[in-house]
Amino acid sequence: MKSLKLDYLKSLKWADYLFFALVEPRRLSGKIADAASKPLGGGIAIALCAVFSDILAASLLAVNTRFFYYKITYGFLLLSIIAFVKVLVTAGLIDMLCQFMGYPGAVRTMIVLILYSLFPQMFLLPLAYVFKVISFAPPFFYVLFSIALFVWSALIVITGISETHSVPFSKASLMFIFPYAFITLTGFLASLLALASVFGYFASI
Amino acid sequence: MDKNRKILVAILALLGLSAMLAVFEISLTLQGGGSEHYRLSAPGLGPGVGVVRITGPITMAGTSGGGLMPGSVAETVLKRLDDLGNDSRVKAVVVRINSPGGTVAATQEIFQKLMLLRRRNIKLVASLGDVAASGGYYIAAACDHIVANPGTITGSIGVIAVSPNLQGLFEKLGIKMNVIKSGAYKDILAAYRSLSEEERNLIQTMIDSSYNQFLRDISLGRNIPIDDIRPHADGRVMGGAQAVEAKLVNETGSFDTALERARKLADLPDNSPVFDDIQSPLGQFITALGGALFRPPRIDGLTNIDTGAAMIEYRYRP
Repeated sequence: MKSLKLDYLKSLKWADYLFFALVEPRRLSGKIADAASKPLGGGIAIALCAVFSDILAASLLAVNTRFFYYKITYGFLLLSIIAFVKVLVTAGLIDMLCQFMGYPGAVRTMIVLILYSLFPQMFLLPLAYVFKVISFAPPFFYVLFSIALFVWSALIVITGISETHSVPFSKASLMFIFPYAFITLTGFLASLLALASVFGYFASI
Repeated sequence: MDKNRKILVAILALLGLSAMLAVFEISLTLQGGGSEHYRLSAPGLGPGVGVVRITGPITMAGTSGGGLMPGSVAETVLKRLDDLGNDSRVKAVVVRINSPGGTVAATQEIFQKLMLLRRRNIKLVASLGDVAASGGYYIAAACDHIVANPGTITGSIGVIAVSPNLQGLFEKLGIKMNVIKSGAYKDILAAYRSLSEEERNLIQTMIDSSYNQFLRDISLGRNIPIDDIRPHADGRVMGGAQAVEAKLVNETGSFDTALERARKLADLPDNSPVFDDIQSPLGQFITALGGALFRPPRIDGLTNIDTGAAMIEYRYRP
């Protein structure tokens, strides 16, 4: 079993997922869907690396204190957990909507797809680093690249949804936006409810 | 496909390398700042501190500075300040002053130009060298912060007009001047005759006016009342440490202290670049050669003689 894993690593077949994530997202979702055992391990590793890259990029631009050690250890654990929860919730909501619209459920494919879609976000560190080295508006470029790489990740997921369920790109975009809109709306309504409860409590005493 | 896989692995290796570099750099920073030699930064790019050097008597006299010929001190400094002001990378300027002062107009022009930069929110720090007296201090007063060496000669707040009276010598040599003039005061401060009482009063009025302007500008630049400056504004010179006590200077320190202060005021990182106007050795040689070839002959200490006119100056004359 151990040598089987080593052979798989040596064969570099795992790199295909990353390659397709960058240049051919349609083939990525097809490959994930076709795989007998979903490459979840690789996806988790990508997500962890993306979180690590983000922490390092942000730390490079900030004034570094001893707090960096907490950021890179406990902070890394916390952000990784948040990232995985985010991935699970997003994949769950997307799949729920797909099933609601009459498409077959593919939540495992969706989870792995979203994990691999985080691969471009690993480029945040070297990109921000270049502008830090030349001291040319590093915070601006950090934000710019963060947004650009998020859009890239979103495009990978949207293309994957489009391929998995054979729906047009526009419809896949709406499916992708749904979880974010749902969470935003739920959060807004929950905060309204909380505010109303607080005001109500103070009004009654 | 195999080629693509290898490219991907190379990309991953580069990502890993950048992560290692980042961890290395942050660790160095945490270990007491590390060494500047190890810190990754490209020189000359990004926001930084500009440096302008004012050396020697400040005057508009001289060439326009074209070609090999060095321009007048004032013109060169004004052009340098314009360049720094137009450079979006320059967030702070250190004005390195090593000057006993100079003519009133030239000094005031530089002062006004610095105030203009200050209004554009470019932080200014003056670094005083051997001497920054009279007009040299006038210019420094335009800066947000003044740093002087403990041994810097500064102060000498006042105005002076010097003209040699060679009447006795002319009489002894039997030299007489033919002067045809349109008014009584046209040859005022001429070297070949003594100054009359009316002429003296006339010059004194000009000197008083320039002196009051000097006090007003120091008060404006340093944000201290004129009455606090006046006790030190009788032409006396003082050392850097005394100047700190007299509140004419903010702190004692070197050029590096001034750079550090400029970075702090402009909220720049410690390793932000410095844009100095010091030329390459070849450039310095060519400029010096041009200066030696084209500089007009002058008698040191008698500025008014080489231009043929007496001058009212903000200048320290030991």
